[in-house]
Amino acid sequence: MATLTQVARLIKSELVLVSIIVLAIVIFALAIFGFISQDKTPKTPPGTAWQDKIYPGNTNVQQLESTLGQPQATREENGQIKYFYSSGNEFLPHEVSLSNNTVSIIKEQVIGTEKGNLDDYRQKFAPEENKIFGEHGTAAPGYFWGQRGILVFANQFDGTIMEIWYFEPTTISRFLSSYPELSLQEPRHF
Amino acid sequence: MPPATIAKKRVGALGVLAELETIEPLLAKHREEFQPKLANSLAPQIEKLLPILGVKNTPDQTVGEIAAETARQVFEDATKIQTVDQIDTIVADSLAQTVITHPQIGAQVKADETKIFEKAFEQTAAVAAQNQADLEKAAVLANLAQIASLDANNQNGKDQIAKSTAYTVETQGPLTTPAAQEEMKTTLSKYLTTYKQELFRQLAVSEEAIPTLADLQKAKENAHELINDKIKDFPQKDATGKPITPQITHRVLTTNFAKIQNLIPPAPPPATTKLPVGSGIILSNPKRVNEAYLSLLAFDQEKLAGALKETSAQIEKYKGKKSLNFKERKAYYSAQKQYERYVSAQAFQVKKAKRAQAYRTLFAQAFGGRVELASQNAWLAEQQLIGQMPRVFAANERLAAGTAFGKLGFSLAGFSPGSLLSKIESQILSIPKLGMGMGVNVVGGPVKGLLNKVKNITGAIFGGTALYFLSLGAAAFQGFVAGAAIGGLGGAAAGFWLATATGPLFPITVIPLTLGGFFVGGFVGGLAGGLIALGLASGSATAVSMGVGAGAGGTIGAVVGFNLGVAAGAGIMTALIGICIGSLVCAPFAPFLIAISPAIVTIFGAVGAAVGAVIGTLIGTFAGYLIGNYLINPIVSAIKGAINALEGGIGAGGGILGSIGSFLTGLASTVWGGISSIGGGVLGALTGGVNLVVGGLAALPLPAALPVVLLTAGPIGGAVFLTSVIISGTAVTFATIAIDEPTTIVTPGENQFFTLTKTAQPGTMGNNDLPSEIKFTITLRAKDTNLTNIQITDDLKVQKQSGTFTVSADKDGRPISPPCPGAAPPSLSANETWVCEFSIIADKQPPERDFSDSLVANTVTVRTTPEGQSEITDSNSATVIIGTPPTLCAFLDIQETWSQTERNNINEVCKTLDRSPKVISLLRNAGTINLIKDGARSDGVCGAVNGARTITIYCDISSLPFAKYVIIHELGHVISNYNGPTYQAFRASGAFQVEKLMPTYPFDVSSDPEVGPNESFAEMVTEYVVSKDYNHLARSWSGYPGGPWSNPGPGWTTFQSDRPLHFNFARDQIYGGVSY
Repeated sequence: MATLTQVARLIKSELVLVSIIVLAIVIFALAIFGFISQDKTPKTPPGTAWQDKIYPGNTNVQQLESTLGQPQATREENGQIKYFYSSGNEFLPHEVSLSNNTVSIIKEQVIGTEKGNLDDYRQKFAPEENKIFGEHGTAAPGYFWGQRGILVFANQFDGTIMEIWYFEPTTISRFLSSYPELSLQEPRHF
Repeated sequence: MPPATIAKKRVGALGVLAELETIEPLLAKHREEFQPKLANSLAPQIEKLLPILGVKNTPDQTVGEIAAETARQVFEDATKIQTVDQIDTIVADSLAQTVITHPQIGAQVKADETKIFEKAFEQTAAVAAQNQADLEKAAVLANLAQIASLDANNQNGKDQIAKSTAYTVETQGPLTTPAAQEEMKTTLSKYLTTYKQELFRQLAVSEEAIPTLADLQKAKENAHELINDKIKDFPQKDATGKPITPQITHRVLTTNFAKIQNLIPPAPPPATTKLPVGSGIILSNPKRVNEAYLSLLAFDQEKLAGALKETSAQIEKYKGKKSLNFKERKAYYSAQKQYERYVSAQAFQVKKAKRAQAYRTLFAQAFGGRVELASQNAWLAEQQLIGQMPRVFAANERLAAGTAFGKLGFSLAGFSPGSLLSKIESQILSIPKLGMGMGVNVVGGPVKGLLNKVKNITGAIFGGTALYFLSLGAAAFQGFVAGAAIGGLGGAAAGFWLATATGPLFPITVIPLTLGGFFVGGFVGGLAGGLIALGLASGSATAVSMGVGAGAGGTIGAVVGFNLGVAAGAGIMTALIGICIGSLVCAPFAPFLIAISPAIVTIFGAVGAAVGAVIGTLIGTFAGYLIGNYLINPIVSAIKGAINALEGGIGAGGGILGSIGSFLTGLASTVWGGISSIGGGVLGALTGGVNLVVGGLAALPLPAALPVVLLTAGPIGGAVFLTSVIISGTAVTFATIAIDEPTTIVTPGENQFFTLTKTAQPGTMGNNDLPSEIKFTITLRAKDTNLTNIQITDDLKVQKQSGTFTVSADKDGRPISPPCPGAAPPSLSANETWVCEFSIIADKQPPERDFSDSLVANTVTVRTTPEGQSEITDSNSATVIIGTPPTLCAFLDIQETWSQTERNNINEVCKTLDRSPKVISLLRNAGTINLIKDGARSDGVCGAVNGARTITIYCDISSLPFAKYVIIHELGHVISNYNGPTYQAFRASGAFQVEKLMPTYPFDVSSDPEVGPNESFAEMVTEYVVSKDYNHLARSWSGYPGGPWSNPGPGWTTFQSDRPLHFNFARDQIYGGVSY
């Protein structure tokens, strides 16, 4: 049985070798840890999440229901299922469209200033890629960040936000082909 | 005509085709032979009926006309007869409809349609019985002809299949893929084809062998079952192999279709739908049943708008004809009745939105929270009314609702008006159960007549209150049910006890005193329970305190009232006996008077107790409010503050306290739920379902019913009462059972958590008054929740023709944002109020501070986080007019191209809008607004806005009303372009969502995707000013009849009445209360 003194002498004489072995063990441990951590951390889907967890094109209906519960109402339109969740205003529910059991687009209704101002989004995402027009016309054009998967309908002068749409990142042309009611042209209403 | 015989023979495939082709001729031959005979049988009965209805000396020719037309309609409606016992209803219905729509007779009959039907039923029952065989044959052939005409390959068949598929998908598998839906249609197509072959193979119809209705129904059932066994190819998986909506089996699919198309016999609906406990209290009244039905119809606004449009078009079509035959008159009449019902639905939704929402809350719970399913089923019932029910049902609001909510409603795979409403049907005694095998259910006899009256009063008292509490939330409703049950039982027991004390008068007093006790006790208990539950759910100690006060006040009031009543009674009886003894005439009766005096005194006591209970309840409620508001809230706030401090001090201990709180809250919630259920059960037990006490009593002989009720009531009521006292005490401190929240309409400065007001003194002043002081007062009052992280900002702008400047300091040089620096609270306890006052000096110091001819607009904004809630922001404004503020025309850049008349009209528009400083203030935010004239456009558009504030007019505006209409509409767009919060508030007000696009807007919303809330906003802005003066064109898309919006046609009144949400928003948020 080797005494502690003998072990100390051995370590001292083979200091370089022991150091290399310790370093190798540390690196191996780090590699294993990193590998495990990588496996455990889910890859963040592209685009902007709604309510931190819901990613259009990625979140399925089961995940949606487990996150937000059962919708207040559902409706089918043109083969698409729509789930409606409370926004705090009884007349303007949030609308979540589903396509093949997966969230395709979310239309979040904004009441008050809880979602900030248009300028907040411009600071966060840089200037918008495009400005488009929908049912709010020039009262609240849509500010489109295709790569971020977000469209913010807001007043062009004071930045008051009306709606925010979340979708899977796409280009403006593809987006407009999916939503023909939107246009790049400024409407001239009667 | 030989009696119908049951077919025995069987035929092959070729025989089936032959059968199909022979049904129509058989029916036609039978009509030709039997219809005149039926008319002859009816004529004598019609002669008897008309005088009963108040029509005398009717010529024979007219009687003959009515008889012939009645017989014709019997054949037309023969497909509605599914069983023999429905025959008499259809005959009576045909006669009633003919009388009502007869050009001369109809006008003379004053009775309502239901009454006419009842009288007709009495006269035609014998005719129907005498001719039953021939009428049954007509029904069988008509049903077979209808089935034979249903072809999967023609457009009608395809439409019916698509409709049924859509219904099944929507109700039972909303995630079904389009491909799978196509497969479902193919399945139904195969089903229909095979079903028809099988049905006719089984029946083997021939002239000699017409089946009976019973045989027909049996064959339908057999064919349906056989086909269901045969069709096995309905896909259970989609193209990727994933299972799809496993609940849609081919049996569910085909059964839904078969029920809609009458391919299987009507069956009692499955009792799978459960309405919330206590619903029957609300639905015990026919008026509310009808309101409930209308609320469900109105939920689907798109469908309602379509139905309005369709029936309106039908009415117009018939109006446009020079003369109408009988068939057309009946169709016209039906369309009018339908139209009236849809208008009522629309009006109810608009005028009583909260009440409509309360009804839908009730039904949503029966459909797993999916209101749209309840609405969809109401619309299905509506379809059935038109196509499969006697016409008197479709034309009568109460019967229509009764059909939808009764067992006549057909069921579809568990979710249906039938299944939903069959449960209700048994609870609605007041809806006449007429015909269709149901028989007239008239409660007879003097005692039952009295009970019916009592039942109606019960429904009126408790139903209305229950509905009110339901509109405050499910918790308040449950509390009301529990409280009413407990109080009602206690009151009934007390009343019965008092009745026993009346001794010889017991047989006379037992019913009024017991029922009186039930009403009074139910009122006190319901009010107390509803308020306590509302308080628990919303965290309002004041509401809880009011509830406790109501209960305590009611009880104390009853005791005091009883004693006062007894004292008064004793005094009166003593005096009467004294007078009687002293009277020669009366003296012999004195012993009798003495004998009954204890009973009389007791009755006085009972009356005193009832009056005392009601008065005590009201006093107790008010006292509860004072105690809750001024005593409990400060104490609770102090306790919470202490707990918060303790949690902060002991770290982990906060978690423990939180856990204890959560546990107690959960416990309270669970036990409260139990109380509500028991309370509902008690009411149910008392009332025979939910028909309240009368239904239960009516089911038993009266003397037997009372002991049963009271013996059951005592122990349960006592136990529940004790439990509720314990739980209320616990819950007042700890529980915040957030079940739901009352609905609110957004108004500036008013929200669920606080009220924010801003005032200015004085509101106006002249230029000569300058310099002068203006005092602004801000009041922030927390509601029932503590407010934290309060941030207050203030913005004070002075708008002049030359521009706008901002005032940032008060007269003492202190900043006005945040206002009252150093005094603004970081938090505010529930029901606490913070007031801030500051003043500025309105100077006349050009150029920096010249207030002359200006509009001073001061807006305060509060951002806060209510305890346990997310952050909320709200604001409110006050304005001061000094001298003559800038007019609209001052910042309108009017080009030179306008004619003098047009220019004058533009000046008039300015003058009109100048009356409202608020609208000028909103427009002022746009800076200079350009007003350009351009050549006429080919598309008829008269005005447009581009570049956000450049208005181009393309039409001649020499007419002043038209100039106002067009220019103010375009200015409406400018307002929304430059006032984001105003446009956002418009969206949040629900005006567009509830009332849709303003009906005077020229274009159909569906034809232009860009038309939406923005256009409704602009149209609202102009209609507020011009609606009564401008001669609008008719708008075909909305049905607006044209002309000024002042009773322009049937179904229309004024802008304010027809579109109140739009009107109110314009009045308050655009024009600042100024009227035009």
